[in-house]
Amino acid sequence: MTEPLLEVRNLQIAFRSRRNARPVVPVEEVGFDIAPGERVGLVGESGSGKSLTALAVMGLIHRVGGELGPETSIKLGGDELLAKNERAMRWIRGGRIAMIFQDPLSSLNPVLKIGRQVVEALELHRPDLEAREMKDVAIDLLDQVHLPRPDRLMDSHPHQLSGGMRQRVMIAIALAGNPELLIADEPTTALDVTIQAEVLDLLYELGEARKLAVLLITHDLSIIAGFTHRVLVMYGGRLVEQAATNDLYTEPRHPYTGLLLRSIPPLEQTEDRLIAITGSPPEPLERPDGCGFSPRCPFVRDPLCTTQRPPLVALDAATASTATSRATACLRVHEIDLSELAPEPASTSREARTTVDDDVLVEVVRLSKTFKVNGKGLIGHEMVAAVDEVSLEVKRGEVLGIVGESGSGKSTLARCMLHLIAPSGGKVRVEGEDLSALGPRALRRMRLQMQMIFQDPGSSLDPRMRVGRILTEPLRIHGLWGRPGYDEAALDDLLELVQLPSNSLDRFPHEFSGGQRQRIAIARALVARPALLVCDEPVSALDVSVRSSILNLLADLRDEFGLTMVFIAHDLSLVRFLCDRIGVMHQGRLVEIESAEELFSNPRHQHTRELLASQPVPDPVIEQERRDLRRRLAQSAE
Amino acid sequence: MSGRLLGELYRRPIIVAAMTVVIALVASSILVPLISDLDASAPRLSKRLEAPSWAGGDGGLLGTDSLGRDLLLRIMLGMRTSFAVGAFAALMGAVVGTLVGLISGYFGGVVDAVLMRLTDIELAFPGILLVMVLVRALDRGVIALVIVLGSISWMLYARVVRSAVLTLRTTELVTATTGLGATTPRILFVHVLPNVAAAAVSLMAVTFAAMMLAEASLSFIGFGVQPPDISLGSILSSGRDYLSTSWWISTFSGLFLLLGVLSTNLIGSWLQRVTDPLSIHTGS
Amino acid sequence: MARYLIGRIAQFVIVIGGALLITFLALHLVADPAILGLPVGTPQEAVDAFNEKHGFNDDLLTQFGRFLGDAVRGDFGDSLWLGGDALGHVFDRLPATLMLTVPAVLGGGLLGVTLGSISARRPESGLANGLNVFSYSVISIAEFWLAIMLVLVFAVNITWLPTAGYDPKPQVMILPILVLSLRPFAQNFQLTQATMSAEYGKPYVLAARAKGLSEGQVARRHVLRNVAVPVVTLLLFELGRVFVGTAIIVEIVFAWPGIGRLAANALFQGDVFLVQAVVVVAALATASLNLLADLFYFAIDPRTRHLVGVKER
Repeated sequence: MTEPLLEVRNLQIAFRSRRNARPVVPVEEVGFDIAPGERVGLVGESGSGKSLTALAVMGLIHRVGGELGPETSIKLGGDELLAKNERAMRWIRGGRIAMIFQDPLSSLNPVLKIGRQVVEALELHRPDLEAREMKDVAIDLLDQVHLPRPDRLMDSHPHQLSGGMRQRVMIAIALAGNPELLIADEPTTALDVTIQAEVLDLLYELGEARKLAVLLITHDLSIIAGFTHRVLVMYGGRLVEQAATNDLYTEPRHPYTGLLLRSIPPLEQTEDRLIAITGSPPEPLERPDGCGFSPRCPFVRDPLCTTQRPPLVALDAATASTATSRATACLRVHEIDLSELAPEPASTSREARTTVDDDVLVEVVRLSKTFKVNGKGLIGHEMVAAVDEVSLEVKRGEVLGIVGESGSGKSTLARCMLHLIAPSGGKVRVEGEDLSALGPRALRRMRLQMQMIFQDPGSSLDPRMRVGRILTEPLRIHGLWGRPGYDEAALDDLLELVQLPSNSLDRFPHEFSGGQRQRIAIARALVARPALLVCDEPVSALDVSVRSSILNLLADLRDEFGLTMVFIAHDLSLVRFLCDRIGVMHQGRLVEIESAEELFSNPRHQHTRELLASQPVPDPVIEQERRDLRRRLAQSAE
Repeated sequence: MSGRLLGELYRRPIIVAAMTVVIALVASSILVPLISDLDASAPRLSKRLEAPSWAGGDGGLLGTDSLGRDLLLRIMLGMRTSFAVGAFAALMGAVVGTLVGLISGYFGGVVDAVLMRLTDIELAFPGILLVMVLVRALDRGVIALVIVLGSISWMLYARVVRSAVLTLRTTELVTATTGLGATTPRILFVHVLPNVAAAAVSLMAVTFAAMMLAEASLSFIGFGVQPPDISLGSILSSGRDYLSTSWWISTFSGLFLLLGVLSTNLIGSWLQRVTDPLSIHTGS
Repeated sequence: MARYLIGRIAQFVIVIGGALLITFLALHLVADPAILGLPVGTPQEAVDAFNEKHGFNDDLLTQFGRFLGDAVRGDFGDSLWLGGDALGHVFDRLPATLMLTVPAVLGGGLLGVTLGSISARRPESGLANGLNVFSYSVISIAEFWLAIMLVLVFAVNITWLPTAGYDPKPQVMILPILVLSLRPFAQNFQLTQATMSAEYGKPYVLAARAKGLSEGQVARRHVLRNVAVPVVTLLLFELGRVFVGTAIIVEIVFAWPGIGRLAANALFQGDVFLVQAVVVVAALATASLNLLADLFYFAIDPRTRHLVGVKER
């Protein structure tokens, strides 16, 4: 076995504050190796400590106010990094270990030219270069990350580039010092799926070509499936599982990994319900005793799991070291069988689902919305069509999915459908009523019939109102509160329906977790019993382990009440799970609308095919095939 | 929210001290003139320019002025003017400015454009000169001063409230509430106003302090409060001619002004920090 | 880019026009120039003659039109109080004011920026805490009182320095400049510290550190350029504010013959023409400084050169 490039042992990160006597310890007992040229995925949700782990490796943890534990050791090529002084560490940062970040716009200095920022990295780490050579080397680097017209890009500023191009610039800067290890912290989270696939393919290609080791940090198990050799899973500040990529996806051993994998809606077939994980990931200060996952684990055994901290142990007893072998931090790992996991049955019987009938609830005719861009004045602006002559119908009881990338106009379409922003042209009929022909009062009345839930529940709920007031607000607005059927008893039923604790009414939104806040928003939308529910990316802002339970709730509502829904998403697997028909938006136009079955098995439009080919799935074999498919698609496009 | 504020206070003894000082100053500026049997305006020529009793003079606690009047009493009455002018001007600015900022931020368009130009004019127009011109035109006096100070301070509120409304508009709150079928006045006053009020309230403490300073400055150069009304600025000005002999007149009147303004400023900047709209939304 | 410049210059014109209008309305509509300018008890015939001579009997619109037309040509009429060209008096006093305000704002402001950036890098240090307390005290202090106290200490008690008077020598100018410099110092200190700490929290700073830059390089090459915009804006704004605002008070206390004292006296005398001239010069100066600040912003921040504003989503 080759000497590891990076060895992390006993990593502990603590934050002390004057406010709390006890330091907060977001990362504990983390240890792993990375071999030269090896690609390793580090997966975890918000608050799991994955990004702090990366900062510790970079020697930057003290810059964010943290400190390392006394037994922590981080070795690069056998050298202890923690023993090095700041000057030596500066040489390593950007020279031997480089890093790229989640948001490529804010990670580039807004006032400096691209060329300057690339050359700066060369000045720091390439003493072998003459000053006059650096410009050419910088152009060459931009070319290596497949940026078009690299010589002209040198004089551009970051805001002139698209998100994907900025991330390529970040990668070029990272490559400037010829590093041995590249740490990529959620490098594609801010990007569209097609761009995400391109950036990951680039990183893959660079890793292969340069024998560059990559530590890819992500919350998304799907994107690394075809990318990494090995995967580390973090939960609550600890490593809970470590495995070769293929092993992890075919046979996860830690309950958290297993649940997480099974909670992702599959792209290949339709399921009635998803496996959901109860609760939400713990805050660093509120971690439970014993196993960090125990409060959410279906296999929990009291008091074993709730009192003892499970160490990360090798599954194969023969290997003493846990640094690279398959390992799991679960005390019951040999007793449990993850294949037993099955979705909880719906609260109501499946038969209750009303079939979609031919009655049209919503009719959208040549709907357009244009915005002014480039200057506010009367002269010199241009109009951009965010939504361009979209026509569609939604039948009663149907769930229509709308997918598209950012800027495709899907959110604007949703808002125009409800007349939350006035369309520039076209018509929307709901229950046969033309919304733009209605007076303000009649339109407000109509809103009882059509409700919307938003991506970020935190910002759509009034932070200064208690949940009880939030839920009754729609009823108060329309003078319904207190009438028969709209009383406290109805509120209690509603809370039960969306599975919120019964004492929720007296609390404020910020006292709830993100998933619970989205349940509040759903309850508010349902309180006046609407016929139509428009959901704009309702789970995108939520942690991965929380998403499936919200999706299950929406599926139950669809089945139980025959609620008609329009479901906006950028993620194809979500619409596949929930929707009867799916429309694809691209640059303001509805390019394809088809039944879910048909769209997935036989996509017609080029953009639909690209989306399908870019949609990551948690399966290493399929992901490898897709990489090849994308390469062929790209070649045929040229 | 209030529990969080109390917790914050516990960690900031200096703010508690500032609040105590403000309360003590307000209370004594009301109580001292009530209790005292001296006349704040009538000259007592036998007691001209007496030093404070603790400095060997016969002028009471803080000494007397050039007409023999008790300085403690006059300073307290001056404090009262400062607080009254500051409070009324800040209140007037807050009410008008909050309304304008609310409307301009929510609706945008023409109202917004006009407001922004007005603010530009105000920025290009050194405040004190404008105030001097207006006060002179309105023929000096406490009421004129309050009106003029209030009518220039509303723009600050309008700007702050406007940007708070714009920040709020980037969230989904307004869209979501519209989607429930709420009328525009209901959205503005039930949902938006309570969420931006904190910004206006914390600004009130800061403008209150600035107005106190402005009143004193104007009175000092003769454009503010006119006799028989008493202002810290005019007391200070009257002490200038006796600086070499009777230092206490200018020193104490200025010291009390500093105490009042500094305390209010500290409270204001603290309020601005703890009522930052961002911290409301994250709820932390 | 051309559109931006045209828009910005149009704004400049609107602002100056607005300032003229407000002054004009205050002096002619709210007050009566004759009552302001003539001694109490002036016989009615004299008042009528005064109004007739200066055209105050015409309707306001005509008067304002005439005022604007003359103002554009630099004619603000003759001063009632001092006699002679009103604008000429303002220009005579200008150097005295500039002599105090420019060194005060630049000196105080730059010191504030320097100490602010040092404090931002060591936010919990004793220096930062001390300077914070100091800057709050400075902002809360009445400048005229501070001026008097300084005179009391340095000129009356220990007689190192003269009490007041016009004499462009360092020992005369040091106290007024010191007083004038305090607020620019405090404002710039607070702003620099706040914006720099905010800037240090941004991802590009972390990315710069991850490149292997030293802390000094991060500050000089990356952070300072981004902080420059608000700081320079404030400096120019302070210069405009001090130029007429604070200078009035300080010039009165130190009997310094600048335009601030001229403005106060002109108002006392009810000299409508002189007041108008001072106000216009002051407004022009501050508006030009604001324009300069915006152009600087335009020059240093590349994002403003490609103004792409998309309304809503």
